[in-house]
Amino acid sequence: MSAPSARVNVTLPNEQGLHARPSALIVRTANKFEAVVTMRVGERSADCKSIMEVMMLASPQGTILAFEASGADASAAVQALAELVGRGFGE
Amino acid sequence: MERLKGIMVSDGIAIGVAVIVGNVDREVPELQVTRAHVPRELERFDEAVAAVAEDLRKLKETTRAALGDVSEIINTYLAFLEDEISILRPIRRLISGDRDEAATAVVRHFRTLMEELRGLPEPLPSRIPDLLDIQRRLVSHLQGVSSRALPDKLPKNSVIIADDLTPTQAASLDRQRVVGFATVHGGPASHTAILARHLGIPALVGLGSALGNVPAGARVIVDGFNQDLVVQPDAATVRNAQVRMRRLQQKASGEVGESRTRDGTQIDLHGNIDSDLGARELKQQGVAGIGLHRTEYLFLGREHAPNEDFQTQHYARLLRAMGQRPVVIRTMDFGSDKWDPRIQAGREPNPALGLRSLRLSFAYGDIFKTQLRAVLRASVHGNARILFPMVTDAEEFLRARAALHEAMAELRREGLAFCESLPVGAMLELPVTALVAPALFAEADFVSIGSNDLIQYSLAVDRTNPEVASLFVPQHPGVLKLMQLAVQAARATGKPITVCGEIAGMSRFTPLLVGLGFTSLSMATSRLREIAEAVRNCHDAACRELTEAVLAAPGPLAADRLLDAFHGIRATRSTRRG
Repeated sequence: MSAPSARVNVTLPNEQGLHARPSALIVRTANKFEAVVTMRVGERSADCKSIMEVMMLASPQGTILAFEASGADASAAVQALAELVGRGFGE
Repeated sequence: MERLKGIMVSDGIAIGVAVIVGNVDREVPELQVTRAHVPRELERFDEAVAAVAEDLRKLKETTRAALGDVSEIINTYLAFLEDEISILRPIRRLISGDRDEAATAVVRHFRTLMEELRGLPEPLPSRIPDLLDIQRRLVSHLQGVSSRALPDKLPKNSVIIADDLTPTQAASLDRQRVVGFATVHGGPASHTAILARHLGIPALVGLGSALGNVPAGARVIVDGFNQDLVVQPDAATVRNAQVRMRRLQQKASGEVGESRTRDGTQIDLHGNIDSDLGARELKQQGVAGIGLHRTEYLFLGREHAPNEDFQTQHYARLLRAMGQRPVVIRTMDFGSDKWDPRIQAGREPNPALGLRSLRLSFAYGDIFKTQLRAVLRASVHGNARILFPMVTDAEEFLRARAALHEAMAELRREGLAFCESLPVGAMLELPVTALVAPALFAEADFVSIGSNDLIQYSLAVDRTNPEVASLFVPQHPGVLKLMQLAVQAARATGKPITVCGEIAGMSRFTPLLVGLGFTSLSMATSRLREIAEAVRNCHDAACRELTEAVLAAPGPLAADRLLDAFHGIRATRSTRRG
């Protein structure tokens, strides 16, 4: 992936951490965009269009998720994801 | 003709046709194809993914609020089916690289995925059943079997036979055509049990692996009274069941009638109810109120607990339907079967002694508080009471009540109305609770005895385990002694006590409960008329004598003989009186 053209950090508020439902929501949101979107947690990262990759990071509450994107709509993509996480996935 | 012993979790009798719902893992032989066949396998795989996704989308559309919102679960399934990177591409690689047959590749890759999930912290391993379900659907499709596991069109009078129903299966049932359920596993709080009680049709669980031998399409009788499933019954058995079904229908409708003993002691009869269906009919039948509203049904088939507004509306509907009659709303009481796959640890070595019932509510304080707020907000619509399940002692009761007070304080701050004087009760289900009942009564406004758990925990018998189910004996003198302690504590404080386990709805035990001094019973609505009649046959003094004799009996067999003798005597007495 080319150098990310947009990046945003957000803290995971969900008590249950990033389990299946919020992971599915991340994927659904990411799929709305052309951009390649990655979620970075410390050293590890996941493609935001893969629910398994997102889930496997097993991020507990309070984890800092770094969304990075490159592509035409990169900044809109990271913004949408940050907003989704920020309001706790509506939980 | 064969009889399989089970545990009744929803009563009644039904005669129908066995419909086998296979949850059982299909053996998938590991197969390879020739290089020439690889493109075809890839195509078959993509078709299977599309077809399974389509089935799920259809299910999502056809399943509406009535059975809980499964759409969140389905959305998650769909996300798995759209995961190119971790699921679809690796499977395609197994097909093209290793020349795996499509179903083989699916099973191999899902096995790897599940292994990985198993190593991660909770709640992630709890998703393994979801992956298994998706794998099953894909494999079924590839093997040309109905991928829905449920037949497209159920025959009329279907009796659903399954291992245990998954929430998606429960949601997709054509309920017009189902007359009964029978499952290998499951307990009183399983999805099958909750669904059956909601629909008001009989269900037996814990029938064991022998259920696997029932042939599809066979005639079966689900007999909640004898607690057995009759497979291929003979003509006489069918006739007998038909007669009892008719009698039951007559009994279930119409006025319950007086429930005063021959000596004039009033015994209040209440109904147990799972949903708001049937509340109006209950009122028309003339019951004293709803003695136990189980709220687990509200949570069924959802990935998340229902929100506050949804719950408030539900409780308000129920309260309005009952007018000024009391409605006891029991807060969520999940046992080893929990509605939420994240909570469903499934890894508890001993769920009956684990994180269940009120303990579970404490552990999931947010969900608990949402429910408390909803009950409070609904309380202005009728005569509500709140009941906490499986309260161990006064201290635990105070902890639960503190959560309620916290919810009240929040509502006050938000300016939302609720009934300030809402009575708060405790369910007595543990032997130890009976021993410390006076302290509990000092705090609680009322107490309800949950006899099923009280018996289970007193006798250390899991009645869903066929090996020991026969040891589940309500008439055990020790169990009755515990109930006596509870009723004595109630009398000392002048606070109400109700029996609301199954024993309350079994006329064989009515004289014992009257003899112990209970004046309030709550039962399945279909039992109301039968119990009212049993009450009308009771002589207070004779009941007390019987109870004293049973309390003094050396064990359950002697107690049973005393009951036999009593019912024999009573029968001749009432005949003589004409």
